[in-house]
Amino acid sequence: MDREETLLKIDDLYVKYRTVDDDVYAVNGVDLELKRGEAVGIVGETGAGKTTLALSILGLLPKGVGEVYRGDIYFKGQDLLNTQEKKMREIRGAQISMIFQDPMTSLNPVFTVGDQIAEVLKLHGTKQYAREQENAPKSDRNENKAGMSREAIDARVDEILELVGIESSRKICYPHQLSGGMKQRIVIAMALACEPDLLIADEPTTALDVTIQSQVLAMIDDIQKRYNTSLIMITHDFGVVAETCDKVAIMYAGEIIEYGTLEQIFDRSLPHHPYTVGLFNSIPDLTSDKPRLEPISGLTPDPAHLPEGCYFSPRCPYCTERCTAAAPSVTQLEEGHIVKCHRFSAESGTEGR
Amino acid sequence: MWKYIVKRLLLLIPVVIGVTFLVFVIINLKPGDPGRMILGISATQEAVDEYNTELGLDRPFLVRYADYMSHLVRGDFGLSWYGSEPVLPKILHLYPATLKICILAILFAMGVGIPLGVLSAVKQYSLADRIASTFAMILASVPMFWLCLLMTLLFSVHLKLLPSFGLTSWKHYIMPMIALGSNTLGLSIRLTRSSMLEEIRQDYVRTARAKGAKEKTVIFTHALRNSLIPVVTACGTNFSLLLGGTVFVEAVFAIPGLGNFLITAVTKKDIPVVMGCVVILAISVVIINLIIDIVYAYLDPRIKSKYQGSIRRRRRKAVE
Amino acid sequence: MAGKAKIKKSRGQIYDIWRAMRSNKLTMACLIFVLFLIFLAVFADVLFNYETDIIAQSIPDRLQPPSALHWFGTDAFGRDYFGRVVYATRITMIIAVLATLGGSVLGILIGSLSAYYGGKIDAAIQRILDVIISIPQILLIICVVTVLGGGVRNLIIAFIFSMTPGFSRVVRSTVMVTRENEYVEAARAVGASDLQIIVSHLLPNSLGPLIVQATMSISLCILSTAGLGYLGLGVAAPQPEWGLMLSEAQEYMRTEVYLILFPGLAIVLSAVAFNLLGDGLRDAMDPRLRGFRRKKRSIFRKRREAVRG
Repeated sequence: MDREETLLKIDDLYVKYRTVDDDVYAVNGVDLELKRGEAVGIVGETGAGKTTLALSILGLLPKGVGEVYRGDIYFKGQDLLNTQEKKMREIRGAQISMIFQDPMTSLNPVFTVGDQIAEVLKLHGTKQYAREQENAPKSDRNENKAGMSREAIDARVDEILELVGIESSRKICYPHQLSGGMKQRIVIAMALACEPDLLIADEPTTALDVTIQSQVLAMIDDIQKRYNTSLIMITHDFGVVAETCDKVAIMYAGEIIEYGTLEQIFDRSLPHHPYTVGLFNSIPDLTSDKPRLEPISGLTPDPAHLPEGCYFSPRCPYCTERCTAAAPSVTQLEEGHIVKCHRFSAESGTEGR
Repeated sequence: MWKYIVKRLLLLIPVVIGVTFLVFVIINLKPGDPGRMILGISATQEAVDEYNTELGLDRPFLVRYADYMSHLVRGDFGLSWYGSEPVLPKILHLYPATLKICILAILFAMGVGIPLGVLSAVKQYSLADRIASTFAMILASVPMFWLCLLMTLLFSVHLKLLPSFGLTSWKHYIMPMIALGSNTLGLSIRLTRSSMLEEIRQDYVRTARAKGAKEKTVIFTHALRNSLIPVVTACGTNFSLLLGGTVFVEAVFAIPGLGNFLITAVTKKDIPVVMGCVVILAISVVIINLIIDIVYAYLDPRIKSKYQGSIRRRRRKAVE
Repeated sequence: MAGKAKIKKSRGQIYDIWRAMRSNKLTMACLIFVLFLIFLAVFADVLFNYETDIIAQSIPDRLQPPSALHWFGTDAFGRDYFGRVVYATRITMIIAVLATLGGSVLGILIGSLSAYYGGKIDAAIQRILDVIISIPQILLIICVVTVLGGGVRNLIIAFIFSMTPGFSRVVRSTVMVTRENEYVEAARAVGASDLQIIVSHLLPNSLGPLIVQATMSISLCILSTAGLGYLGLGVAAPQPEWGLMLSEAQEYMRTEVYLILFPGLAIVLSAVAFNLLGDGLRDAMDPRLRGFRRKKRSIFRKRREAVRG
């Protein structure tokens, strides 16, 4: 990418949800770094803490329940966890925006989609508009501090709708008048309206059918490249990752257990975390002749009662005594490719496969 | 939209027919002997029979109903059996007072109830919420006439602040308004609270937050608009309850309104008057419901598009 | 969930609801009060002798303020007010409970048929209900009662008649909403019959709103019974009935405040108890809230969504 500037840095992040019965440990020590223009895919099963991670970046964890109890998040060098709510609001939607999983419920049913897109613009304005304002002679400047004029907002709404492939005439529609795919495009339009630096897409295609899926993905990919936006793509689908991402993080029980470039993760000749191997074995491979899939046995652990040692140990085919005794630390396999597993840690003499 | 309103107004016709028929049936389940009641025990049987014939009571039920209806469509609500006064002018004379109290009461209930409900929901489990919820719960369960008695005792007898009967100055409206609106106030607090709590959990609220909207905007623009939908509906249906409640409030405060008039007529079995009052009140309820439906459509576009040109919708579906 | 994880085993829905209800003190207090009201209603005859304690007049004892002998004082006929207030529970409860039962059964029947079949059947039923609903409820009751006469049985008939539309509307609207849900489509796809779908998929979703409506109806019946009594159209004197007692007391209210206080409080307390019980039941039946202390309940869903994401 153009600049090797670090946009987002997550440092040893721990998030738990407090409920009456138990504390639920959703994120357990995540480190993640994202450069400008980079796209990282976070892959994991349901319940791995992917959405929680996204919500903590935006500071939208449910109040009084979700809590970051350790770690830091830096965005453009700014400590997000210790940013005032007012400043956070200026960041949300403008610099970091999010595409939510379910387009059916993510739009307010009583406002037209055009108004809902315009709302973001009213709140933040666009970057281009800000630049124009700066360059404009003082007398021409919009006195209204809130930002853009009605006409400018209208024009931008039309523009962004065209960008996501919806006729601008549809902006007077209400969400219930649109199909699921179109709603998701609206959600994306909303997220992109202010040209954010970071886009978090939380399973943006899960609720859509396959043909629409690839269209939406291609669109996200295209826009991301065009605006040099960084992208966090949360998904459980390796196909989605392959299509849109540069880096991949595999998440399991609130931990990133393997991280590398797309090539490193997808290259099956390289050593991998047993969970990653399991994930790949549970998707059909058209190039090999395997008679059947090999799903990983067992289920994701209950985040309220995580197992001792390595969280994956109860399901791991290579589980040893060491695995149930202590949590593994990070091992670097090669440049940029790290894994959290005892099989690769230095003390162990036997390297993995 | 206009087409819809006209259509709804046309629907009044079957409702009026239905209401009159229903009331006619109920009242004729056990036909009394109005001649005897009006003329008294001392009258001769011949005189009573003659009087009953004069009232047309010797004719079969359906004939009487048809006769009544044929007069009704000409705006003739008949004559009271007592005193032979025409019914409609009397009703029209008494109705404004009743309607005024009702409108004041519903405005009072919603004007106070919705803000309290929102406060309750936003500050869930706070002291304010507990107080508002308790208040709402008690208000929804207080019999209007008892509240009237208590208020009379406090404001008229002890504090001597407000007049306890009649309806001549603005002061006279205060107690009837509060008493009549009390149940609806309780209801609107409770409903606003619960539907607001439901709405602030929705995904679109999270979307609004993710846009960087202020909490105030999130609550008042996004969530409130959605949560008002059930509140408006419920308060609309409650208008009928209010019209019924005037019976009690007017009785306690001796207000010359439709409610008092109706109760007097009911106890005397003055059928033309009862029919007239019920028809007028039923028409009011239907019109109020129409207004509520229009407000409802304004609040919820999903409903609006249901009755706005189904053709356009079909075309849109085809495009998709 | 993973093998070793402890997930509390559900011991059936009724038990779960009961467990959730038990954790709510207010609901339990209301339940106890409601049971107490039912107890009074059932055993009023045993506690008091109707002829001598309730309706026998004793003019020398008239209008005595509350004392150790007469806890609530005596009324204008020298009758013990406490006995009359308590005995009135019986009459009110019989009317309210039977009328609500009748109204809800009819309402479920009409509402679910109307919603499930839709089309012409729905339209026809709705028009009929429109007619009944457009007459203010209390006026309808008043009409029925003036024709049939007062008394417990006629009040029940009048209440059932006036409440059925409300119940069927509630059932209809929830069924209409759930009918659109995909799991109903799924049930139809696997060959479930109409009746099966209505009973096992649509009605359970109506249960919450229905119970709320039923408790509201019971308190509405309590209020209406009192209202009719107050207007002199309900239960006839000398039977004790709260509204009737209030109307008899109105004459003396400037001096004998207790006469309008006790029956009124009885009405409010019983109406509030039923309303709160309904609220508690609704919360307890909502699986999203169940098993979590009241304090944290609103966030439970958020938490779950967030964790699963």
